[in-house]
Amino acid sequence: MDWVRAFAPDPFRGSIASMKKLIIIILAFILTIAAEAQTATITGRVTDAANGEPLPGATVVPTTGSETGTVTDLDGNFTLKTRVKLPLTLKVHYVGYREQEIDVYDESESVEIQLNENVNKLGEVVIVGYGTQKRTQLTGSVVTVRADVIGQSQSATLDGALSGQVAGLHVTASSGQPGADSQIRIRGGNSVNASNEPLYVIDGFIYFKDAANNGTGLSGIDGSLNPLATINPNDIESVEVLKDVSATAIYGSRGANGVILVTTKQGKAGDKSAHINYTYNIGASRISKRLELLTASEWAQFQKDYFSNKGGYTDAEIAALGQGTDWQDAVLRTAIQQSHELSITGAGEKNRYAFSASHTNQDGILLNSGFQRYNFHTNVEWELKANLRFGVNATYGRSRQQGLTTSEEQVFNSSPFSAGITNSFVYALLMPPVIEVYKADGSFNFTNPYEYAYFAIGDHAANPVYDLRESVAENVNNYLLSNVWTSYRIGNLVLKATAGLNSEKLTQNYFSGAYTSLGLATQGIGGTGNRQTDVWQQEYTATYSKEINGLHEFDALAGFTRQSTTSTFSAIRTNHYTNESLKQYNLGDGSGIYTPQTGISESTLNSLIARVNYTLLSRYNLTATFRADNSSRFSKNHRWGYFPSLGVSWNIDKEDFFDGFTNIDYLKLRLSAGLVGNQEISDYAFTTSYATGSYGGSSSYAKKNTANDNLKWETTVSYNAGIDLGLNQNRLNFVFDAYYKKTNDLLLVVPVGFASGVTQQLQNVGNVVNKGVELSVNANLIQRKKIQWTAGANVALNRNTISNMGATNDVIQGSDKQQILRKGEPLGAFYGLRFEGIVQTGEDVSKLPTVNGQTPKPGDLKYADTDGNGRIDGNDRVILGSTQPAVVYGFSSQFNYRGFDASVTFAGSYGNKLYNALGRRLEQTGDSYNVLSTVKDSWTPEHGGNTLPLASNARPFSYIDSRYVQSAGYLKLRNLTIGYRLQLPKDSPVGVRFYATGSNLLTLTRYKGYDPEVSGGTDSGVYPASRTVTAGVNITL
Amino acid sequence: MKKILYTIALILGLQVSLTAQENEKVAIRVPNFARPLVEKWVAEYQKVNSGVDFQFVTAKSQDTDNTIQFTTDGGAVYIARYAVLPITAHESQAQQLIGTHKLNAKRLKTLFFVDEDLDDDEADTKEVLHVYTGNGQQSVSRVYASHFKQTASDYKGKKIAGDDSFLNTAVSRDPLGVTVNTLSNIADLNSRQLKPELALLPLDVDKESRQILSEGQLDAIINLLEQRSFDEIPVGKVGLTYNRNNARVNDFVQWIMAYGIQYVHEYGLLELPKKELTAQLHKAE
Repeated sequence: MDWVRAFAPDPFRGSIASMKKLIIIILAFILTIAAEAQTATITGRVTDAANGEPLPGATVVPTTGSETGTVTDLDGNFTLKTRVKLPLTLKVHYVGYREQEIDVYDESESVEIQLNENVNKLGEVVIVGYGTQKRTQLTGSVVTVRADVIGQSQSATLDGALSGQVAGLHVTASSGQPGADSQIRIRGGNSVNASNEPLYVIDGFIYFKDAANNGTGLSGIDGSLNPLATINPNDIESVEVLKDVSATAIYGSRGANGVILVTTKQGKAGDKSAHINYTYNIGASRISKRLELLTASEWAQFQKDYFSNKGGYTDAEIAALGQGTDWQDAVLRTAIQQSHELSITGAGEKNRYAFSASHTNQDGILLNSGFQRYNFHTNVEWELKANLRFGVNATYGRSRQQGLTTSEEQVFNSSPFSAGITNSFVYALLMPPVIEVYKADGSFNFTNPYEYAYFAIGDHAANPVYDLRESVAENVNNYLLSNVWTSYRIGNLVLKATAGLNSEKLTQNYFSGAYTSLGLATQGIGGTGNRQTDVWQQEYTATYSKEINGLHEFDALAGFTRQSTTSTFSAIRTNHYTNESLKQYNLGDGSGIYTPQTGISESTLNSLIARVNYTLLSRYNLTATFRADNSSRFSKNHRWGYFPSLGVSWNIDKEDFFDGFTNIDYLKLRLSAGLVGNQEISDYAFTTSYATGSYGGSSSYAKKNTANDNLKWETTVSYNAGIDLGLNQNRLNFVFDAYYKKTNDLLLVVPVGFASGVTQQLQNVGNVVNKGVELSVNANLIQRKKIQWTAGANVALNRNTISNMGATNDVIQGSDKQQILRKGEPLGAFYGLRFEGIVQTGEDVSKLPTVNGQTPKPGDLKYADTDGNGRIDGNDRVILGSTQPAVVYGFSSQFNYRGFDASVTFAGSYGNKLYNALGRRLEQTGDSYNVLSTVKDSWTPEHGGNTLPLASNARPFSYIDSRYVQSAGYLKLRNLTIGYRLQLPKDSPVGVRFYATGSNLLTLTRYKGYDPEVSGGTDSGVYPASRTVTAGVNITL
Repeated sequence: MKKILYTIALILGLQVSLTAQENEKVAIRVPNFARPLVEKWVAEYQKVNSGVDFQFVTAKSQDTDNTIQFTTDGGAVYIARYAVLPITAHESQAQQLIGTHKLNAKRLKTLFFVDEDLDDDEADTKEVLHVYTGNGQQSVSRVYASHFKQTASDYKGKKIAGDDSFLNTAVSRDPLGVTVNTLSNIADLNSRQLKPELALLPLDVDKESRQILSEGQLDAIINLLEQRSFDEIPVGKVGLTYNRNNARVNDFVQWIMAYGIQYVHEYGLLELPKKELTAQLHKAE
C-alpha cells in the first residue's frame, strides 16, 4: 500500500478531504488507463513491391471511423494511433500505385505493406534541385525521363536519348561524328555570347562544361568530345528536366537555360540479392544520305563544255570514263560498333550499392574516325549508425575520339580555290572523279593536275583518302567525377555535407604529314595539347520536414555551396619533319616551332541557397526559392547576384466541389515567377588581358580585352503557367505550359572604339524574349499484365526575339557574314540577298539592278533590290529565317506483349533554317573540283534554268542568298527497338533478352545537305549523320 | 553494514547469474504455424537437457551464434513438410457459391490471383468472392503463390497483417471470404479434425482423395498428402539454419532429427519422405 501512501501522506488522520482527493486521483488514473486501452498504435512500413524502395508520403487511413490516418515518412515508415477497435482495415494509398487494403488484427508486429506500381507516373517522388518532392506538390515544370526510355535509345550519350522525349527540349547533334556533342536548348536560347546549354547536375554534382575551357589551344582538329560522354546512359536511373523558374531558381546564376538532373542507378533498399546485368551490343552504321555528285564522264563533259578541258578529253574518252572514282564512297565505310556493359546492384542490411563497367568501341563511317570509351561507375551508400548515412558516387573513365583534321576557317570567297574546304571529308567530295585514289601499283595517287597550289605543291597533290587514313586528329579525355556525402538526421531535420571533384585531363593530338592536304605547305605539321581541369564542389545543406495533423506539410532547405575551378592548358606545334613515322610523338623532329600556348584559368562560385515548400490540405502548394551567387567572373562591383522565385500550385481535383467530375482524376494548376541568371562566359572577360605571340623572333603582346567594370550577370525573368490533367484513372495525362522569359543585360560582344585598344568587348547590352507554349500527352492505352501499350507525344512552340540591343546596331556574324543580331529578329537570324531567279534570254535587263556595277546578262543570278536603289549591295540583304525552330515535337510509343517488346521514338522540328555552306560550295563551278549533280541543271542558252547560273569560274557574290538558307525542319525516326525476353519460369535466376535497334532509320526533310541537324546554323561540311542498326543480348542474374 | 554488503553481494551475484543464464539461451525463430511443434520439441528436449534454456524471438531480432531459425525459405537441413490448402468458413456463402464445383489448379489460380489478361483497374470489380491472404514474409500465402508461379503481390483481394491464424478469422467474419492456410493452422490438434468453423474448398482430385479431404480427418489427410502429391495442394518444407559449430545448438538439432520427428504428425505437419529424411539426417551429422 506504499503507493497509496504516497498520494495520501496522512491517511491515519482520516481526513475526508484527503480521501476525496485520493479517490479523484485514483479515478483519474483508472480513466486514463481505460482511455489508453482504447488506443492502438500500429506501426509499419510501406514499400514498392518491385524493388523494396520505401514510399515516403503514402497515406495510411483506417476505413472505419472518421480518423484522418497518417502519412509515411521519408523511409516509408508510419505510426498510426487509432481508437478504432482492432481488427481494423487500413487503406494505403500512394499516387501511381495500386491502392491496397490491409486488415490489422494485432498491433504487436510491424505491418509491412508492399504496393504495386500502377501504370500512370503521376504520383511518384521526383528529384528536384537539392532534394525530392512529390509530383502532386510540384509548382514547377519538371519532366522525368526514366531509365527504360533512356536504355531503349541505345545512344552512346545521354543527349541522344533525350531527343523527342521532353516538350520544349530540342536536341541538335553537332555532327554525325561518334562521341560528338549536341546542342540542347530548353525553351529556346536566351543568350548570344554566354552559353545557352542547360546545366547538368549528376548525382548532385553540378557539371557544366565550360565553353571557354573546352580546348587545349591546339588547332587543326575538327570535332570535340561530348561532355556527356562521361556518363554511360545505362548507368542512369532517371533524368529530370527542370524547365521553369520555380524549379531552376535554386541553381540561380546557372539556371537560365534549364537544368538537367541526372540520377544514377543504385541498389534498392531491402533487396538483399545482388543483381548482375550484362549487355552485349553489336551493330553497323552507314551514311544516312549520300549527295549526288557528278560522275567522271559528267565532270569531264562539264569541263569540256564550260572550261578549258584541262584533261584534253575527247568525246569518246569522256564516254569511256564512266562513273570514275566515287570519292564520297572512298572515304566512307560501313562502321562497326560494339559495347560490353556489366552492372551489379544490390543492398545489405545497412548499405546499398551499384557498380558498373562498360566499354564502347564505335567506328565512324568516315575512315579512321571513331569513338572508344571505358567507363567505371560506382554508387554506394551506408547507414553507419542510426540516422547517419554516408555515400560515394564516382565515375572514372577514358574517352577517345578520332575525328577529322580541319583547315583553318576560311571566308567563303577569300580564295576561289581553297575556300569552303573545311576538312578532309569535304575535300573528298570536291575531288575530280577522273582522279584515282590509288595508282596501278596500289600505292596512293598523289597526282591531281586539276588541283591549284593550295593543296598541291609541284606535281604533288593531296589525296583525301590518304589524309583520312594517315592524319591524326584525336581527343582523349581521362575523367573522374566523384562525390562523397554524409547526412545526419535529427528528428525532422536532415543535415547533409557533400564534397566532390570533377577532374578531367583532355589531350589533343594532331598530325598532318607532308603528303596530306594540311601538311603540304609546311612539309608536315603536328602538335599536342593538354588541358587539366579540376572542379571542386562543397555543399552544406539542412532540410527540415514536418507534417502537422495531416493538414500541413512543410519542407525547408537552407545551405551553402562553393564550386571552384582551375584549368591549365598547354599546347605545342611544330612542322617540317625529317621522319614522320612516330607522328605527334616525335614533334621534336620538326624544325619549325610555333609559339607554345600555355595558360591558366581560375574561377569560384560561392552561393547561399534557401527554399520552402508548403502544402495545405494536400491541395494548395507553395514553393519559394532564393539563391545568392557570388561569381569571380564579374567585376568586383557586380559579383553578387540574387535569384528569387515563387511558385504556387492548386490540386483542384482534391476540392469537394470537384467530386462530381468523376472522369477527371487529377487536375492541377501551376503558376511561377522568378529570376535566374547566366554566368557562362570566360573567366576574365571583365578585366584587361593580353595575348602573347612572337614577332620578328621576339615575344610580343597584343591587347586582347579591355576591362569592363560594369560587366554583370545576364538575368532572365521568367513566368510560367501550367495545367496538369489526368483522365480515365490517370491513364491519359496532359501537361500544358505557357511561359514568358525575358533575358536582360544580355552578355553581348559589341564593337567598341579603337581608343580602347580592341575592336570589340563583352558588355551587358539588350534583351532577348522567349515565349511559347508546350503540350505533352501520355496515354496508357493498354495496361494488362501480359500486354502493355503506352504512347506519348509532345509539342512546343517557341518564339524568340531580340527585343533590345541598346545603342548597338546590327551585329553581323559568321564566316560568310550570314547571320545577324537585330532588334525584333530572333537569335540566329540569317541575313542575305533574296534570290529571284536567273536572267533569261530575251529578258529586259535594263530594268534589273546592277551587280558589282555590271548589268546582268542572261544566265546571271537575279537578286531582290530591296532598297530600290537600282544596284545590288549589302543594303539589299534581308532576314532569311533563323535557326530557331517555331515548333519542336516528338512522339514515342512502347509496346510489350508477353516477352516481346517494341518501342519507337520520333523527333522533329519545324520552321528552323540552316545555311547550307557545303551545298553552296558544291554548286560553285570551276575547273578544279567536283560539283553536285544539280549543276547539270545550270542555266544554258539552250535549256534555260532558273536556279543555278551559267557555269563559270566567276567568284561567288560576297553575300549569301536565299537559295542556301534552307529549311532545316525534319521528322526523324530516332529509334526503333524490337526485343524478346525469353519466357523462363518466374523463379528462374536468369533473365535473357535479345533485341535489335535501328537509329535514324528515316529522316523526312526538305534540307538539301546531308542532314538538317547541324548545331550553330551553318553546315560547312560537318561529319555526316549515319543510320545504325544494332543487335544485342541482355542477361540478368 | 553487513546486511548492506550482503545485499550488494546478493544483487551482484544475481546479476552475474542472470548474465550467465542469458548466455546459455538458445534463440529460436519459427513461423507461427510450426511453433507448437517446436515448443513441444523444446519441452521434450529440456526433460533430458535441463541446462539449456530456449527463447522464442521475433523475425526482426538479430541472429547470434545461438540462433536456430526455422524457415519456409530453405535451410541447411529440412525437418518436416507442411501442406497449404484453400479454405473458407464452414457453410459460408462462399462455400455455397462454389458448391460442388471442383477446383483444379487452373481454377484455383483464377480464383486467387489477378487475371493476367485483365486490366489492373478492372481486375477486382468482377469478383464475387473475397480473397484474403497473409502479408508477412513468413506467411504461407507466399508459398502458395510461388506454387502457382505468382508472387504475393499478384493476389486479389485484401491482405491480412500478422500471423496466418488471422486468415481463419478473416474468412469467419466474411461470408464471401476465401483464403489459404497450412493444415496445422486449420486443424484442431486435439480433436484431430478440421476446425469446425472452417471448410476446405472442393478440389479437383480423385474421388478417394476428395473423400478424405471432405471428411476432414487430420491424420487421414496427413497420410494422403505424404503418400501423394497434387497440383492443387502445395507442400512446402520446413528447414532450419543454425551454426553447426555451436555445440549446444547442434545438440538440439541432432536431438530433433533423432527424436523430434516423431511429433511432426501430432502438430499437423507432414514428415519428409523416408529417403529424404535419411539424407537430411546425414546432412545434419
